[in-house]
Amino acid sequence: MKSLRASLLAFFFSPASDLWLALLRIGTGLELLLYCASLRGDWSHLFASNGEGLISRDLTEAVVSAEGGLIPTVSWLARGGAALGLTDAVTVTAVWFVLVSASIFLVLGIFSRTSAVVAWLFHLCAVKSIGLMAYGVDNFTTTALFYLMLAPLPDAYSLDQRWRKFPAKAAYWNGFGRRVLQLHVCVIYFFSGLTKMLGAGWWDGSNLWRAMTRAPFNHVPPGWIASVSCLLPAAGILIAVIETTYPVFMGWKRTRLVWLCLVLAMHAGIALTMGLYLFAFIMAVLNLAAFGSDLPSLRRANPHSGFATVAARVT
Amino acid sequence: MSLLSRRQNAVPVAEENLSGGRNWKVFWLALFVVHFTLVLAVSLQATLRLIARNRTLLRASSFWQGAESVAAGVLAQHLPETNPVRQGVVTYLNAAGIETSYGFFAPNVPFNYRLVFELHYADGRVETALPEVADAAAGKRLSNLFDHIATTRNDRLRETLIKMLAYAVWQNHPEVVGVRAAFGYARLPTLAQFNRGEKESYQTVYVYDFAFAADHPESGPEL
Repeated sequence: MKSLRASLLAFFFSPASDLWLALLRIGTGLELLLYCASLRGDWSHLFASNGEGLISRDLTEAVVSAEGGLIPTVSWLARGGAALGLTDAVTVTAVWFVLVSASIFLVLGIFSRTSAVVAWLFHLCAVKSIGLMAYGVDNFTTTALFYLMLAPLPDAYSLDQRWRKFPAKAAYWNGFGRRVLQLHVCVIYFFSGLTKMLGAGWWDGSNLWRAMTRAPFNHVPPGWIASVSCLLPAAGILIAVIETTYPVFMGWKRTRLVWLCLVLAMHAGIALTMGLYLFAFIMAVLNLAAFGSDLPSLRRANPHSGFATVAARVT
Repeated sequence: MSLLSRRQNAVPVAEENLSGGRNWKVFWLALFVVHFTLVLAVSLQATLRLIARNRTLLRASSFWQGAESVAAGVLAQHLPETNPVRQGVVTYLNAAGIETSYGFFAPNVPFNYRLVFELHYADGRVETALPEVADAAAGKRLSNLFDHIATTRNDRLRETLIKMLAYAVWQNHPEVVGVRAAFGYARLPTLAQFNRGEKESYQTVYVYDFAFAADHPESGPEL
């Protein structure tokens, strides 16, 4: 029992550099900045209330609060703004500026912890207030900000450490944070691949055809896709296999670099062919933070010290 | 010497004392176990639900329904909606961004839903219009909204959502006396049909007629 506990602690708290945290902080900050930039023209329209806007946010928030009354929304912030004498429209605009400021602070690493908490809260409020229009990228950004908020900030690459001389956290906290992120990313890809394997359309390529010809993701002319249709079944199966086996091949250090390249190439392909740039970017950030931070040392590292080997020792 | 090692030498490292550090490790490990159990439960429940509802290659059976029920139990979904534990779990899932599963475009790609408005003018003219957004990023989000409109079982919610979208279009065309909203899906050709020259067709599922009056600002959607 003692040995199991020791092995578990060794698995989760093996010392690691904070390069993963710097990648997560900068990457998530950039993602948030791109999120704000991409919605700049529609921001007021999306978050308007009282029957105005595209879908009045009161309705979306009513749906969200029916699910869970404690989930924060922009109306929480609007009530705070009203107490300061701000109108709803001004508060909605202020939310955008706060998010932009927090994301810039995150990228630079100034007031890292505070910026991470503010970014997480305001982003969560925004995402939940347009919950009926949210998609995967919003959940992944929330998750990234959630982990960032709890991570051992500041990292060595942040201005907090360089200028403000904040002390670095113990290396095992970095190891724990990175391990949690690694395991979560493994679950994401495993279930994404598994559910694809359960659908007939991923075995004959028809789902890839439908995904790439379906508005608003139809960025490639269907005639061009039809000209390479013989590749669609193989591509569909390859995507499902890469995702389902992700935990195995990313956990094993010998195959990690190859699998990371395959996954990043897959996301680059999704970005270029379907226009899901923000989604591809946050997935690249999560992959690089979880598994890319120790790649430069892979050649020198002991191939038997990887996460699969330690996991096998624990079990 | 790498940048990292230079920095680690230059700044003090906040080390906990050994016994205190060990207690904190166990504490955080316990939190991780709870968190990870929830992540797994959400993903498992969604996958098992797909199987139980016969939407996959596997045959639906009571086994999958039972397994889904177990996963739902872990997520406190068997408790009443107002139960504090259930509320706490839901709030935590949303706060951590783990309330939905990860089956994107799986097991199959959903229908391509669309919403088209007919704008009726007082002089009898009729124009067509689509929901209007400024940026492509918001346009992609509309696609998700249409999926919600299509899949909700709440007819009143569906009508209210469509009425709001119609009202947003009407605000840009206040001289319009009536808006007919046609919600449906595009039947995309399969690869073989595309190669035979077939085009996509549009299948209307719901039609609503709305009238908004410029001199009655209260005529917008009621919430």
